[in-house]
Amino acid sequence: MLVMMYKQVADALPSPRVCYVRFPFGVPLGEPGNADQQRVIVEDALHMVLNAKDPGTLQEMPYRWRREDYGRILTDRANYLSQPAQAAAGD
Amino acid sequence: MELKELLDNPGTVAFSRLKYLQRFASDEQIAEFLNGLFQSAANARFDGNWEIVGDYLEKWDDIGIGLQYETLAIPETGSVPWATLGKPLSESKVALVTTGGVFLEGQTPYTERGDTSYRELPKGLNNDDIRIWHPGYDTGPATKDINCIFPIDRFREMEAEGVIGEIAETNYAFMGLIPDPQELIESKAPEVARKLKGDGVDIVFLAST
Repeated sequence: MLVMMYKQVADALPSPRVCYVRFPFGVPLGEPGNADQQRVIVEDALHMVLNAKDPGTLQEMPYRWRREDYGRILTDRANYLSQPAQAAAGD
Repeated sequence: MELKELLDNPGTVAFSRLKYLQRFASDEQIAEFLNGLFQSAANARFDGNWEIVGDYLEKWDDIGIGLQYETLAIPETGSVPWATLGKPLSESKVALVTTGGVFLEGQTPYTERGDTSYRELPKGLNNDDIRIWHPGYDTGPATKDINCIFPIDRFREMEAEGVIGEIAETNYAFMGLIPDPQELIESKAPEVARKLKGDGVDIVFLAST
């Protein structure tokens, strides 16, 4: 599972799953001290591990750096990783 | 004054994508960029909508990165490896890997571009012992909070919550500025992959800087 900010390089490499974020280079998980933002990206990446069906899946995340309410995103999708985990176990 | 000098920047994280315009854009492209920036800024002020400027800069982020990408030597690679998770996430062992040049107090620092060595980062590491050396990006934010590049605290939380099974005992760091990656591909990366497999790791979370 790869979190990457450089889409062209991600496309060129044989990575099984890529979570592409349009964040500045040097901060793939988000800003210092912004645990909610970091958690959103970590969860998105794990969600791909559970749900991506094809080798080389690249998912472009919609987040616009500081212009998002990451705490709200986490609240709105509580238990984001629980259901797919059950699905994965049944595969 | 050279046109490129107008794009002089401090190399900080805010300029991390736009900096490539100074390095790789032609004079014509730089003139086009500056002219458009002037217009979008004036329109943004008039409309009271500064999103226009943000969108404009993002468009030119992509143009600059595209120019830089043309200068890279991407190695030939084979087919995409693939494995599915054969167990619930709540029972899975996760290892973290970073290319951000992370090492621990007492470990040998990375010394130069092209250094393909790696460092082992134990699960129970003290965050205060973390050091960073990487000449390719602004390490300021990650020095303030390592979770920007190596989200160990977020995974510790998920381990405590039972979202994941456990964090691997050993995690890994590289310094990712490696212009010639052949040794990495043939030796060091497979070595780390073998260790991860030997440790029974189910998921590798790799964050690139």
